[in-house]
Amino acid sequence: MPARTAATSTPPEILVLVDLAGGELDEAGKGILSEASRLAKTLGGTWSALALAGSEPLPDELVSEVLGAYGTKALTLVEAPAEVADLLEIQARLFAAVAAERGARLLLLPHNDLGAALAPLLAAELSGALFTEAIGYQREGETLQLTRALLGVQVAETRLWDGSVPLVLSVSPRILSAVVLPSMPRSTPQLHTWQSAQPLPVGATRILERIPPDPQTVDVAEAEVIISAGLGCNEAAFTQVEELTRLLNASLGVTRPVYDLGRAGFERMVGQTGKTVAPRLYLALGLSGSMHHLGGIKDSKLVVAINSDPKAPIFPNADEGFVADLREVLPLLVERVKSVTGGAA
Amino acid sequence: MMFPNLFSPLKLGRTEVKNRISFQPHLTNLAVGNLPSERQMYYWGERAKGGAGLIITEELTVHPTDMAYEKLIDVYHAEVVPGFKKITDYVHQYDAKIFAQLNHNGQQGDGSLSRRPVWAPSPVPDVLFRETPKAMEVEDIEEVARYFALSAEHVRQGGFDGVELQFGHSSLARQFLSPLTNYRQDEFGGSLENRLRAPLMFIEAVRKAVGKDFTLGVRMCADEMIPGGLDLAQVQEICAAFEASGLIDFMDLSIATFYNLYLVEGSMHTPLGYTIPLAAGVREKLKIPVFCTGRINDPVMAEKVLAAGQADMIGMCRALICDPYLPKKAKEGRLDDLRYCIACNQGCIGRIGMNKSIGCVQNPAIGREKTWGEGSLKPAPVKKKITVVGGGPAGMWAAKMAGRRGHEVTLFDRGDALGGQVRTAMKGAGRDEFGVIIRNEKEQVEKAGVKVVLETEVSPERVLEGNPDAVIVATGSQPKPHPVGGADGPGVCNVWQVLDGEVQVGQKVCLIDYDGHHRATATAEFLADQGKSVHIICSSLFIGAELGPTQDLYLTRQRLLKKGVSFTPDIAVMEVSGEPGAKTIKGFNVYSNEWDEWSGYDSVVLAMGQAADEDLYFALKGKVKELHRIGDCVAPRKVDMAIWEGHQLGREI
Repeated sequence: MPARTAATSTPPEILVLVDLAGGELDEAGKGILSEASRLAKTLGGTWSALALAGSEPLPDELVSEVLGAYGTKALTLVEAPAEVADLLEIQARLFAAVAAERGARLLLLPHNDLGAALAPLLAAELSGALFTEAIGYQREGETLQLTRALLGVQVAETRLWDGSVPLVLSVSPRILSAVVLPSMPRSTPQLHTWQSAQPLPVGATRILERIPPDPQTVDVAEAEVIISAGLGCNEAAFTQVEELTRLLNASLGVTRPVYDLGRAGFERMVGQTGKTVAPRLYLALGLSGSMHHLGGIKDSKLVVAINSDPKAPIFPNADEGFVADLREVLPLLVERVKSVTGGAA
Repeated sequence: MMFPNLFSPLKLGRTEVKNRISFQPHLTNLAVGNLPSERQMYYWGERAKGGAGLIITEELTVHPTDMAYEKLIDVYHAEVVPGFKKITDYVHQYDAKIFAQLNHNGQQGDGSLSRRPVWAPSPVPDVLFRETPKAMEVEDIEEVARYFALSAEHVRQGGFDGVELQFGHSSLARQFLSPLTNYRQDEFGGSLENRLRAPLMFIEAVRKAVGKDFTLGVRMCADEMIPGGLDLAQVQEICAAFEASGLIDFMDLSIATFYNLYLVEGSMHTPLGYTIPLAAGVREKLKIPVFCTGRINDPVMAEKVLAAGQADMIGMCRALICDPYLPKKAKEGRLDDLRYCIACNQGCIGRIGMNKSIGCVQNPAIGREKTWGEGSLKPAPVKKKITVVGGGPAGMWAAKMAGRRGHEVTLFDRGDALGGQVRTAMKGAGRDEFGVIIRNEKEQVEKAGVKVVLETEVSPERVLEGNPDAVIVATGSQPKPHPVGGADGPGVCNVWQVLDGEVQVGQKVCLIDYDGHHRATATAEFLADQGKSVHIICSSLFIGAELGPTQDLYLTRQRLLKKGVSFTPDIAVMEVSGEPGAKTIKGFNVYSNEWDEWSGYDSVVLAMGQAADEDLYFALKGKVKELHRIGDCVAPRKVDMAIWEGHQLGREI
């Protein structure tokens, strides 16, 4: 029976798991570092980052400009043979060993594909508590109150962590934002390396292949960047829009009339009677913005519209609007993007 | 399965419904002699056949003081039971459930049909019917409760699966609940507890009559949408009180009242699914299943509402009026075959409000399901080679129906796409959904094996060269070339030219409206949206005189006024003269006969009627074996008649 320690009596050391594969930190990674500062402040403890070391040394810029900017004071790199990158069970065992050695009470990670897979493995390794996909937390006296949405966001579940066992906490990417807060002092991260003293065990599962999402085929409801074509795009313009989506790694969306013309499948149709979307960027090309279309894009973060009709209802609903003829603008846009991307995605 | 939620079963009390689609109560005007009719059996049966899990009948009258509409069923008479049995047996063959709706309209009616005073909580006349009602005595309230119970017994004897009490947009019960219509000082007015008393009496009486093992629900007005009336917060409390009685099994919802009838049956300008937030709000407070109805015309959207937990049952009314087979097609994933309702309201609300039998612009078979329902189309005994000229709605429907029957059909149109005048009309402000009429049928025409030839001007010689067995002329109509003196002058054009972008319209516009329908008002709005100053002169008492029955009038006038459009009614225009910038309209007031003139316009836009395009018909008359003429080229009317005639001819040729 482990000794019961209340969350607040001993401020817990927080370990933040980040994915630095390829020498980069993605949006979710930045978001979780930002969240770590807030959580440490809530609980009154300290935090440090933990990652699997890659074959290449980390770029200085990543360490100083990115990790430092988010207030990372220390980063532990777990060294292991290259194949461990494909062995999640082994990763979990190594990370859990670091956590146990440090006496860390809380492991924090984003609930993305990797985080979602690692979180339960870590909790099992640590015989700890598990709370996944959190959308909120607050300190309740001696405990930490955690919230998540269940059953397609119809029900909110709240649980309390009393600190008696380590907690593995994954946070929903929906609430993560990569902001640098004034309260996060810029620092120069101390780098430590860590190696397992034990021989590595053999895991039961292995990642065989990583298939990157093809923006051309990804569900438009999940897409980060959508370029949508309306009836204002004639056949030639539509071909150019398709090219633009390839060049910008964006997803193609269409309006009902364009779907009716058979230029794209039903799964590409955006609107109240098609897919409801919430991309970071919604580029609306030659679509007027009928009520039924706007109903499906209202959660988009940034809407940019190009239309030849200055009275098109899309404009009052767009963050930026350009009155222009697509027949003139699209070829220029495609050329410009090509010159920047070198013609390849 | 594309729609897992939509096609999951739902328990409403003791009744298990096979899916989440309910054909909602609405007037049909199909009853005969205030008794259930055979037409109603086939009407509701067709929707059961089409896959709806639940059918709820139109309102059935529970008391002789209520006869708001002439062709309702008087359910308090025991004579209704045999007719009900036929209806329920017919519907049950298709594995659908059927509930009956009971209603007393209170002051939302008048005594002109019943020859009795209307009854209401307080002597407050309804805004539409304007007749001061008799304030009900306590004995009257008790009598209505007894009649509700008696009626419910007939419903149960008639073989229904459940009963729904109408406490919605048009109901005595709502008038008791609403501070707008209940001024009583006794135990039936004042506090919410008191206002709930009469509706709860009705519920209790019905529950007692039908027993514990029969499904009973309420249709409540989710929000009266008018200052001083019931809002969502109050309705949540009311619904919770109904649920707490432990007597009801489900909560159906409607919206608004006759103060704002345009919201009860939202037309094309109303967003799809406009009542969803209200259903979600009521559902938050209840454990029993909650319905959501109101422009949910698409299974994709219905599925989203269910998946998001905003409602438990999707009410479809116009969607299934337009396409009774929507549930079946959705289940089979045949979205391309769906005929989507466009909420034009011309055939359904536009007809029933005028005491005509229910219709649908896009579904000519409605109300004639016995002879024209699914499966009634028979292969042609003699296969003919048919030429159809004109790819508007009339020609498309004729070609489609004839093609389905095995004829060899070629459809010609001079335009670059099918649709005829609909393609122009849909360019009017807010009218783009009108084009869905064409979208719905285009593929059906092709699937019927019709050969479509576009961008082809068809001369009589060309028709004769093809040596067809039969020719159908559906060449439509054009705006009258000279409807008024000076119509051919500079700066004068017609509404179709404006919408098609064929003319440049100046900044200061006068639109002459002899139409009273959307082609005039939607063009005026189209021009106002471009920042032009628009004045409408019309011959009627008010602009949009034809827009009342479809519930488009209120919002059309509201939008036009907000966009700065001004009106002069009662004027017969006799002459348009002058140069652009100084265009002058002369006319006289049709009541006072005094002449007047309006001047200083850059452009004059005419909505002054159509002329049939009949040249081809007369050129072919007597020269082909079989010649037919349908739609506007017979006499210019509206799209409902074009489709009606195309459908009928295609069935018979």
